[in-house]
Amino acid sequence: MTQELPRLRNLSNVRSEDVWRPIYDEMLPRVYHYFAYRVGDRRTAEDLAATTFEKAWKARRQFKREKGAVDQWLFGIAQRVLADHYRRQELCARDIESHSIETDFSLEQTVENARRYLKLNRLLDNLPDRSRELISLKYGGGLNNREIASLTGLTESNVGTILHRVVEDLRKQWEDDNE
Amino acid sequence: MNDKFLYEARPTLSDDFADELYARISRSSRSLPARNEHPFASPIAKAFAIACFILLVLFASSTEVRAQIGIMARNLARRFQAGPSHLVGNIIVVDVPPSRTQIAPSQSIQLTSIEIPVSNLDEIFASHIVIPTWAPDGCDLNPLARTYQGDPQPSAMLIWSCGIEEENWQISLTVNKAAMIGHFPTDSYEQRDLDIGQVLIVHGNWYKIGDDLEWKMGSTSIYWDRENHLYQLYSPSDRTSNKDLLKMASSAE
Repeated sequence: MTQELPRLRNLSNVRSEDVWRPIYDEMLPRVYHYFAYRVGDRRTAEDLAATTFEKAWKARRQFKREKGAVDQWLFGIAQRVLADHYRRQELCARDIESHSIETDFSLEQTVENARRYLKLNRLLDNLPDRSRELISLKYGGGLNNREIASLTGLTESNVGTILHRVVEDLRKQWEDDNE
Repeated sequence: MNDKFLYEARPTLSDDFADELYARISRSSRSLPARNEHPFASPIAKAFAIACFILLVLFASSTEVRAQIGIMARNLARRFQAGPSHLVGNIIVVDVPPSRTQIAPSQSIQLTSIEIPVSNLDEIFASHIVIPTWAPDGCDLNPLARTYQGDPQPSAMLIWSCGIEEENWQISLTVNKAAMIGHFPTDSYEQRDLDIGQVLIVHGNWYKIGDDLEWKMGSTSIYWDRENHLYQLYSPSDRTSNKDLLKMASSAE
């Protein structure tokens, strides 16, 4: 997350390209990481992130600050893109196989980074859909609990409670796997 | 809560991917829409374009023969047992029943159409064409206008694409270098004074049912006349409010 974020969160419109570029630079990695945790596949995450930003650009005049900051608006679009993806593929999050990432290391990506991503995805695959969504929004998308609550319809305290429990479980499994 | 591992496991985003995507999005805002998103690909737009040109051929003429049009309008009104005709701006309005036999046999009209940048319209019409500078949130003017080079005069259609994905619709602006006789049911139209002058607001449109025409509500058109050009701003559904459509027309310059 960059220092640009507080300024971006106060933007009242996102119509011009001058404003769009910093939003893109700040938000593309976050949206991409959200999808990467959600679907467990880097290529699919890239496709979904691209679709999200293409839709956001087309719909930029519809952004209204009073309904939420720009990152919440983008993640709202990302959630709809993900829902469309599942509908099209007739998949649900738990059915997604992570086989494609086994051979999907880009040259730039370090082996260690790829290994960690693979390992975490195996753990995420076993989570209920809602828990995976919360983890993806929090640790992929970089949203805080309040923002996640507004996107998921849960209360902020509920989000905090679920996340705490899920992260503790994941951490134990993560460490067990290291031993 | 130690959650560091959840941040560290995030895959690296490729710079190439980010740059290519940005370039693609930037390009898309300046170039033709994708084939399946073409504003003229919609059946509504096609039907509307055809309807406009049938209207053009049936009703249009230059301002020099407006007097003759008036006589023709009265004759047509008598022929179809319509109400009195009157002028709204330079538009002749004839009151007709909301259901009636077509005023003329269907004609097959071959017109040559090409797409040109909106900025080149003045050249085609040899005059300044006024275009709304304001549009409702979520509506973008397509940079290309479809122009028809047929007789009696050139005309053009501009499209604003609104909404996203399944929730999309279009607003169109048709420009004819001609006057018009509008056959509208009583109470379907009203006259209003805007910044651009007197306009005619028409609620509804004719639909062909068998050999007859039926007037159906739902769409709205705003007509105005300026420097011998007839403008029609058209929204095919109630997704664009009358207030927004009027604001759009008022912003034409």
